[in-house]
Amino acid sequence: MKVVIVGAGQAGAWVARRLRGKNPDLSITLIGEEAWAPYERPPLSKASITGGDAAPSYILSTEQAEELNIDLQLGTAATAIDRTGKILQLGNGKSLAYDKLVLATGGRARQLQVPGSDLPSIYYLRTWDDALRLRERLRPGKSVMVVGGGWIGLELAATARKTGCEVTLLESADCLCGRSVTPQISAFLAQQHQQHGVSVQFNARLDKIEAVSDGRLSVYTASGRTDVDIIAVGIGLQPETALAQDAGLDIANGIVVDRFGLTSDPDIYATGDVANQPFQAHASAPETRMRFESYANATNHAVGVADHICGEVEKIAEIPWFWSDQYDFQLQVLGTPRPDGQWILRGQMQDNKFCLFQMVGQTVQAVIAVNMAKELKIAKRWMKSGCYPAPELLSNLSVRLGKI
Amino acid sequence: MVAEYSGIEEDETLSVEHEDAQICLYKVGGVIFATDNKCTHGDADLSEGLLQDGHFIECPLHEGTFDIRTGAPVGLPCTEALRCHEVRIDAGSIFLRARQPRAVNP
Repeated sequence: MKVVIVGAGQAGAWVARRLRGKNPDLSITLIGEEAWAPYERPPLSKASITGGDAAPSYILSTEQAEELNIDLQLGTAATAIDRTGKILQLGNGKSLAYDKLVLATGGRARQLQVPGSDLPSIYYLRTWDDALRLRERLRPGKSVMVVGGGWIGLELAATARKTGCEVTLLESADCLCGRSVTPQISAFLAQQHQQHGVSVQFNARLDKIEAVSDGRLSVYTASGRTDVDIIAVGIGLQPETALAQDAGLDIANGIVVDRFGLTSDPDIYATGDVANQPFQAHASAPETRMRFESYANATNHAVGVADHICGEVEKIAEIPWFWSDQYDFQLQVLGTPRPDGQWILRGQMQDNKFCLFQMVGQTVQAVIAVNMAKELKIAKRWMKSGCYPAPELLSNLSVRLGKI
Repeated sequence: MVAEYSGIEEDETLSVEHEDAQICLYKVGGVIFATDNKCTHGDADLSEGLLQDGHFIECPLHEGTFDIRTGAPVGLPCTEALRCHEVRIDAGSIFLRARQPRAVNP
């Protein structure tokens, strides 16, 4: 059987690795547009900028691909899918026949759409090369405008402060990361950034950008003009669906897949950031759809897809989980916080070491942990088993949660 | 000596220093195991992780797992083995000797 994977990011690499782990006889081809072999993306907003590494941290290096007999074709674009003939066309004029095709095309950094967006010194972050460009520019004393108060924006702001830059953060909403955490945590994040010297501007609308002398930029918002050396933008991800769309696959905020990662074509899967999956936030919730832009999803969903290709029919159903590293704290979110329910605090927020459990009835719906990884993992066990401790135990620091 | 036997609870981890290295001790079924504390995949301390199903430590960062008896990576995304250390208990104290790393798994 010939499996062709389009997209040599984290998800694509894990499909390939898992397939090879399961079946030594498969023909596996992994196509990537970037020049780099598949690498870890979490460091890009942090250590890749502050550190001096000459190459990214590989998930599947070219040497490993060779050892594992995975045909890794880098610097190669996929341009069209002939679904009837089951042939993938490549940008280099070649084509590849497939039995099963996996689309792990990820996405691109969403671009600013204001006048002046095409000026130099405006940076985005998606790839290792993007991180290297930022590494070059984030120097002590430089002024940086970070556009976007989501996870990438916040990590970039923290990293820019670490490199000694002056940082202003623009957020269009009235809170940080408002879509994924509670107001309490949004306030905690804002406080952390302010304490570390970031000027955080809420409800900010970016009107235009103009070039001024010495390559500096003037940023105009409703509240006036700010001159900066660099603009770093983190305003979300645009799923890369063109190839799938041109092939007539179902598209809706990404590529639509079923519980096994299959698209509307039974021989084509989609996985990773680009896959729009069925999702149920909790047992009594209606089934909706969701794309997950997380490390956990890029590995676990990819593994599920590889297993299905190998004939296993277990549905992919992971509890959503992601984390963010900023300054000296790591924040993790497990599950999907709901607007209702009761939040129980373990530890003290001012100590930067605490955990918030969202209880809905007798069940834990979501957990947000700051520097309390172990407690969150224990809660994950409860959520998987469906057995939960009494709420009053959760806040009691003298009770060891692992012993309940 | 790196720790007291009684200083580590059943099914718990303990981070200790030994010959300038950070080591993670584990107590499972009353037996002490020892590995390097740093995950071979990401920048994380295994002592902050959770012991699963007896002899498996789950990294708190990416949820990869290792067999603490052999150091072998058993759960994604970890693919490189952990270095294990030989443990000796004498008069209620834990002593360590370094052991060589295992081969890399696919």
